[in-house]
Amino acid sequence: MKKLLTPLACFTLLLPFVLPANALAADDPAVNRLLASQCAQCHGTNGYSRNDFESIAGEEAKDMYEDLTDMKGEDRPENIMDHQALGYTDDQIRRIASYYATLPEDPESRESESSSGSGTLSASSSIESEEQDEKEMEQREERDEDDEEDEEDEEDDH
Amino acid sequence: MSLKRRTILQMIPAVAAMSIAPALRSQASHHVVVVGGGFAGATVAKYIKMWSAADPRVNMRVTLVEPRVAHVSCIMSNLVLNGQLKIRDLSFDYAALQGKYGVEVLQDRVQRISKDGPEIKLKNRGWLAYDSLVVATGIAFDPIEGLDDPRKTPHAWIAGGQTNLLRNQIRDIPERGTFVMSIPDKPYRCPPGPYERACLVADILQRRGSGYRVIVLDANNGIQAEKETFTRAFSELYGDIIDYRPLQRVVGVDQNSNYVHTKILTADGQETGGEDAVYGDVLNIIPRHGAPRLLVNSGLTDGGRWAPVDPTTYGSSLDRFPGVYVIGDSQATGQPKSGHMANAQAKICADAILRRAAGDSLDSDERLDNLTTNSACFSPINASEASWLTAVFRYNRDTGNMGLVPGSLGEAHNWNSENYRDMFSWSENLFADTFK
Repeated sequence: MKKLLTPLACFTLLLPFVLPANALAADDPAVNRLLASQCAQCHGTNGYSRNDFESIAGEEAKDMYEDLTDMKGEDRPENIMDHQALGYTDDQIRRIASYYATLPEDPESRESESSSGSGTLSASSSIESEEQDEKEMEQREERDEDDEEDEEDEEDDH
Repeated sequence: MSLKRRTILQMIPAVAAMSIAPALRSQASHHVVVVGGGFAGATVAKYIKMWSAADPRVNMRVTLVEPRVAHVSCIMSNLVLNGQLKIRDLSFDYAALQGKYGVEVLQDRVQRISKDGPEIKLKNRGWLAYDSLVVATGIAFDPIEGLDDPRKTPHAWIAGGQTNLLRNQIRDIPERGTFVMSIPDKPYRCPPGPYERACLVADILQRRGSGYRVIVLDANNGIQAEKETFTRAFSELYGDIIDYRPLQRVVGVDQNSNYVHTKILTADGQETGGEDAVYGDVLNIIPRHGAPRLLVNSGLTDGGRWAPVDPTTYGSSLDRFPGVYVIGDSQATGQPKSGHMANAQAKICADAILRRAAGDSLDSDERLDNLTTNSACFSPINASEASWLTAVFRYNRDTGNMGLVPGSLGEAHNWNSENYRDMFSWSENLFADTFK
């Protein structure tokens, strides 16, 4: 009995913000995943932000839906998210919200994060090693230009 | 029964389960070869591996071919010019793609895409076969008469050594010197980028003293992005320094005398017959862009400047290239050319390749009605304040193209320090979503 009640209970909870008519059909989960992945450029892969930009994984679907539809209703869009929200239909916002609600809030419970060392904007280095790096980079780019010429020769053969 | 034997027996179901698990995956793997490890290529490689790990019906092998050990991000690279960042801060290797997601990375250069079958030729390793090929090689530059040595006149529009060269030239500019930069015909990479660069160079020179000039030669009919912001910045912040000249197309450069030769255009881009010559102590000429030679020579551009693709998959629109996809700056959909946008397109392409491998539908109404990409970017206006620009694009089934969603296009009302801080948060998450 408990198993039967759970989906019904979820459905009832979802009803207040599931307004578009076509929302009653089951969603293709990969469609929702793709739609939601377009938030990740700013909010992090799977909604796990690495900084003060909001992490959206695990957010209550109802809350996210209301936040985004409120932003759409702004008389004078002020910030990036006001404009972003205007880019999506209410049904798309529902799909995005329902996708992130399925993810745990804590990324550690989903996957172990690893860092690859380079590319942190706080990185600093000695002047000597920077000059060495720059010299190597310029030499590498010169070699790349030589490669481009090889490529052209290669193409000429065919 | 000994404890040892019991332990072994208890392990048998677990071992059996482990041996069954791979059998649930389809027998043959689907080999995706990605050419180019920038924002488009790294994202598609990562997302195909990440999403396929959750789908037992597919077994995706992804090989990324990239000649360099790391990608240098153009995003944020104007901050190398004023010394706020180093190139190493913007360099991203492929360790996470390999270690965390299982992407195979080959440091090699692709010389040819075969017209006869699904394979590409690598400079060092010879032929490599694919089931799906994703071409994500960015941009190449048109030649400009007299502009023979890029080490003397840097474009700095593909970040790396070129960016450092330009930084050093700006550092060494003579007192009360003139900096001349050019903006090519649209479409070019990063629509607000050149105007942002003009502001930052003006900011650097303004702090040094009076009498410096920044001359901006724009082949286009006015400012191409964040028009209100840059129009105001050019007049309010840099009115004494920046001399903005639209409808001036650079046609020649004399690298000895440091003169830039231009043709003057009408509002619709036709040559008026008028010409000009402009002297600069430092020249930053950004030539017109097109898809790289690899695409042109293979026929992927179909004789044009960019590769035509179907924006529901990013598969080539040309029937003779089944299983070949083009994402990022090389493709012809007309969406803004930027790293953020390349990342967005890569996810649609990853989804399409996974659906094809699994035998799922690509053209259901539900999928087509929910294909979106978006652009967001921050532009530093000086060393402590930034503006932003954003837009959302949605697939239009009537036109078969991605269209700008009304109301989603917006730019910051003001440049400020809060936007400047947000710029670092945005880029950190974008870099991580792409390379980590």
